[in-house]
Amino acid sequence: MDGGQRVPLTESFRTVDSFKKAFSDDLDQAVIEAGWRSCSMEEDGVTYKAYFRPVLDLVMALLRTRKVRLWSGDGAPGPPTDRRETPMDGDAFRLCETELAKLPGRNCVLGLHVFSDSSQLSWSGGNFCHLSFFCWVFCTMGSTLSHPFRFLICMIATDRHVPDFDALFAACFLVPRSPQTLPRAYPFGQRGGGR
Amino acid sequence: MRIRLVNVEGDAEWFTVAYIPVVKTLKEPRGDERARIRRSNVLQRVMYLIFRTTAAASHKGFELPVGEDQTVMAFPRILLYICDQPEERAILCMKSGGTTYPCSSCKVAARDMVSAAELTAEERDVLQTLEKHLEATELANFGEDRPRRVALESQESINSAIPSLASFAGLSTPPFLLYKMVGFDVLHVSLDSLTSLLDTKDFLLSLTESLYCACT
Repeated sequence: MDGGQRVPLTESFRTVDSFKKAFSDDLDQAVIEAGWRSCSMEEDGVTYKAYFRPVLDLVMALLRTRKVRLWSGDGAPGPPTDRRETPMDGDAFRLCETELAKLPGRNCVLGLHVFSDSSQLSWSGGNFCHLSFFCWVFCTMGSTLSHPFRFLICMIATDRHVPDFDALFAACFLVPRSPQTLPRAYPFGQRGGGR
Repeated sequence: MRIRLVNVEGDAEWFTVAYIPVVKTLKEPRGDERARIRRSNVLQRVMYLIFRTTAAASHKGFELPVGEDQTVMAFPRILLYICDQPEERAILCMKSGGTTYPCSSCKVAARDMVSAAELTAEERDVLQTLEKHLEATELANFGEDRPRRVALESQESINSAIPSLASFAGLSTPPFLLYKMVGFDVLHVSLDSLTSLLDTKDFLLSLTESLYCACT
């Protein structure tokens, strides 16, 4: 009980279990209000809880709110090309377009890229390697890096809390065009969603 | 797990769509093996949850309005799955280590890897492999014909489970991209990512400028 609170915590929550359940319920409510769903699944006698949102809902929302290009060519599927300026120039996208062109009517491909790091990243000691790598980058290329990137390196090097460490690396290594563009590709926050 | 819609113009935007539960190894008989199976099953179930409606739409399509009174049929397709090698084996329901065929996209034998035989190795047949997945899973579910199931698993280095992404059109239907969609997470190939980073034109230009400034 603190100065501003007359009723002690134990008055509202008689047991530790009731406190945990209340906390869990609040978390569930927040998740649902944010448009997410939760699912409890039992696997070999152990119950796990997953939080998710259907990809199709997200795709529909993106189609409503973003400017999209539906075909690789001008208003129609484009021919195969050696150009690799966007993912829509890739063979996979154009192969899918070619297959859909065989169907009647006007059809388009909505290409999805998926990224996940569920299996090994947190166990592999990779964080230490990445930290070493970042320190090396900072020491050798510090003068050529932009300020946000330096700030991120400092945050990591000084063990400060980074909201989404994995997403940081996803941004830095999967999307980059050049070191100067790295911070722009950082996917969490309002646009990408944090952990 | 994050996704990106490549049709969106402008900067790449990644959106988180699922948080996959951490599956710990419990202190129990055959704990390591059971945890591995649990981990694999939970991953497949979460993927099914998030892609269930999208997989249906990838076959049937959905109407997308363009212009004032026109519509086109839109078909979602997974073009790229970025992950590390152990996860690649997990999402494709393949054995992760000590297998005869450790490559997910071709049938090169483990003893022939890092040799010329790798270049001429036969590609994995998507339909044939998925049929073996189905048969092995059915045998495992009913607890029947264990020798046959073990033989199926060893023939293709697969597990007795069905990859949920196989329900997607384009992966298990033409152009059959199931075993070609995986791109490794370059975080785990630090040297390559470093080399590519250093090779960028912008970086070289800025480095040259910095050196020039330092010299003058």
